[in-house]
Amino acid sequence: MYGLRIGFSGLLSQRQGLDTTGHNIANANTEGYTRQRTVIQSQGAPTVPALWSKWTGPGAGSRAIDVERLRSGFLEARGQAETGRYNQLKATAGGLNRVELAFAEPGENGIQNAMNEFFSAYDDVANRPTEPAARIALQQRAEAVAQSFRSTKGQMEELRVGVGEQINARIGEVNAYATQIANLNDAIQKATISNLSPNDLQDERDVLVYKLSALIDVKTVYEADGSASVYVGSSSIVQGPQAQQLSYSIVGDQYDIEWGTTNVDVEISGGELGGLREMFDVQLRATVPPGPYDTRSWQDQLRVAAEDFVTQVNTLATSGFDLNGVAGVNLFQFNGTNDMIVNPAVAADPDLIVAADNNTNLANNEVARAIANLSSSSTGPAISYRAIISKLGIDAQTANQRASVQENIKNQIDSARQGEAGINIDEEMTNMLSYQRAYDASAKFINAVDEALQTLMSLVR
Amino acid sequence: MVAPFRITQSRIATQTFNNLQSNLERMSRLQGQLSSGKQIQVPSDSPAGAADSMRFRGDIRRNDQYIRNAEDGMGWLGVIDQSMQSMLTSTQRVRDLLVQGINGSNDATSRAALAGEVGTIRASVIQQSNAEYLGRPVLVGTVTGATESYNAAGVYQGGGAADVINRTVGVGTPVRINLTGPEALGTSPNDLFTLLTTIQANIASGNTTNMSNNLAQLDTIRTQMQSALSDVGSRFNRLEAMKTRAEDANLNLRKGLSEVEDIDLSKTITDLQLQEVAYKASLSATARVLQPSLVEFLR
Repeated sequence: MYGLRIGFSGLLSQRQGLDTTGHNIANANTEGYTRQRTVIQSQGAPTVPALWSKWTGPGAGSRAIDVERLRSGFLEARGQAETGRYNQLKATAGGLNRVELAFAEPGENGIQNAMNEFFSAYDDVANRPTEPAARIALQQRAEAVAQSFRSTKGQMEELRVGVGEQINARIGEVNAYATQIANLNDAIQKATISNLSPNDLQDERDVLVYKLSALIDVKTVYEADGSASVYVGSSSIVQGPQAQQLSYSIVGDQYDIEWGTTNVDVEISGGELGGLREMFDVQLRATVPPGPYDTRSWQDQLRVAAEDFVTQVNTLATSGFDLNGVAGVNLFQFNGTNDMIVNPAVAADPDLIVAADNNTNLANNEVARAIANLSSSSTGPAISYRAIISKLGIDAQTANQRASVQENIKNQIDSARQGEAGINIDEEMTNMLSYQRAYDASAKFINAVDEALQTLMSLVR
Repeated sequence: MVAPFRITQSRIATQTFNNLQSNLERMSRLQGQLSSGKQIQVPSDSPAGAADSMRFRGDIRRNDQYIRNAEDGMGWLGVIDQSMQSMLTSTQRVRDLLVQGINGSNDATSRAALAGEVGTIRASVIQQSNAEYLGRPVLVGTVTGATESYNAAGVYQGGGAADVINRTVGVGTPVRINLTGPEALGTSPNDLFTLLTTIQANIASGNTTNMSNNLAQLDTIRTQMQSALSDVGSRFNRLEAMKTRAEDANLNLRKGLSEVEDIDLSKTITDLQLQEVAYKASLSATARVLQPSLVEFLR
């Protein structure tokens, strides 16, 4: 009789293997799915001897004891770290590329061109110091320079606000992921306790952890009960079924991201959130004059360039005399919001533009020539502005290269993760064949045992 | 591609997609360059190139302005040159009349005629001295609101002799483009117009001694005018040379700018075609790679 049981156990365990293969094939294209394998163990014979008898037969067939997930913990951890790093670098590079677009250099629409046109217009005034046409043209050019400084500054401020909105949205996502991961942890713990398979719940959770790691740098620890603890810095954002939420506020010009309602700062150094925060807090930071300059901030570097330009032009302008023989006034100034404007008095009256260096000979052009000469001076405002663009170009190029190198690394790890955890159709087909054949053979074996029994029975008749 | 790892269909698919993506990205960059004609769209495309390009643009704009300044200065000096030439011709005629007057065989009527002609010439020389360039008398210097260099009485309307108007035509080398009345025609009371009045009176009165003195004085002033004229001529030449230099420099700068900024058309087109071939190849490889599996062979 034992033979029937052996055959039956074979049918059961091969069926289980076939089902797992089917499940794998069905999920061949499911995001985050980890391939599973039926663990089949041979069944030993009864090991407890009975009175007057001992077992002399073979084992008792097979049994499917588990369905395991085949993934590499090492690759998963690497994947999370590299994705976080990639998204951080991508956010930085993307931000810098948009700063480059705000400057619109090199070309005809940038500040440099407006400055060149302005200096040229001043040379035209030097050629015709008393002619209104040249002065009116200069008024327009001066307005164009101020306008291009204003619009570049305005675009960077808009960019900063945009980055802030992105940060808010990302923090919302982080909180949502943390909650979902905690919920799944809860379900996994319960399934594990009730001895049900948590495999597919774990897949779902790991997808979320991976997405979370793209936003913020996390460390994940897998617990014995199947749940995952996720740490940001030294604090846990998810611990079993508990999730912590991030809250944010803007203090001055800096983001303050804290744990819930506590006053404890979240130690964010990587992920998209880390990159965005670096853009907001550092690279696009706008300090308020006369505060110290932040030389890492593009807004501040632009501000230095603008002040340099205004100071150099105004110093010369106030050293001369206007067409009415009155001592010169500032040509440019900064308004309440620290935007460059043309002195309203000069904007209203072109005669206030300064060309002469004394008040008796007003057809004199020495000051006008001196201002025009700033354009080729080795300490002129064009040089310091050009230095900013050069530095921006190098920084953006470096950021692009680092992001692209990191993308390659991330792709390689992703590819290895897919290799480890993904479905190979050929393999599944092979497994299917071997399970199918073994199932056939088990059935055949039951048939053989049955025939043997029939033979035995016919003896009795 | 790395041997120790397991290969799966999704891994191949992802890898193939990544490769297609980077091929496509390279193609789009080349197409962007081709359609804009520029290699540098943003500074990060080539930080050094962007800095060069900005420097070239600035220098070109500056040289364009040098050329304009030089042309303007040449206009000024041209008018001064003409006016000085005609004044020299006129004063030559005065000299002839003066010599005629000294010869003594003139009666009162012919002396009056000679004196009258000197008067007429004086008036026309005043007019010649008032030559203007674009509404500004060229010999008056920079004094405020002057409308003529010499008034009808022959009195200079400008300021002192060191009344300088410069044009910037190169780095650090302004060229003076004006000539003041006293520099050209002598300082009052030893100026041309006072002398002409004296000559007119002396011819009329027939005072040959005075006329001989006048002849020497006139020659002194004419020498001064001639040297002023040659000075004007040499400055004109200098402006012309500076203008040519700025034009040559601009030619080189534009060439430099084009080398930095513009694409090499034939190279870009070739690159684009190569890239297209690579893209097509990877597309067809993708189509092949993802097709077969064991399923096809199990019957």
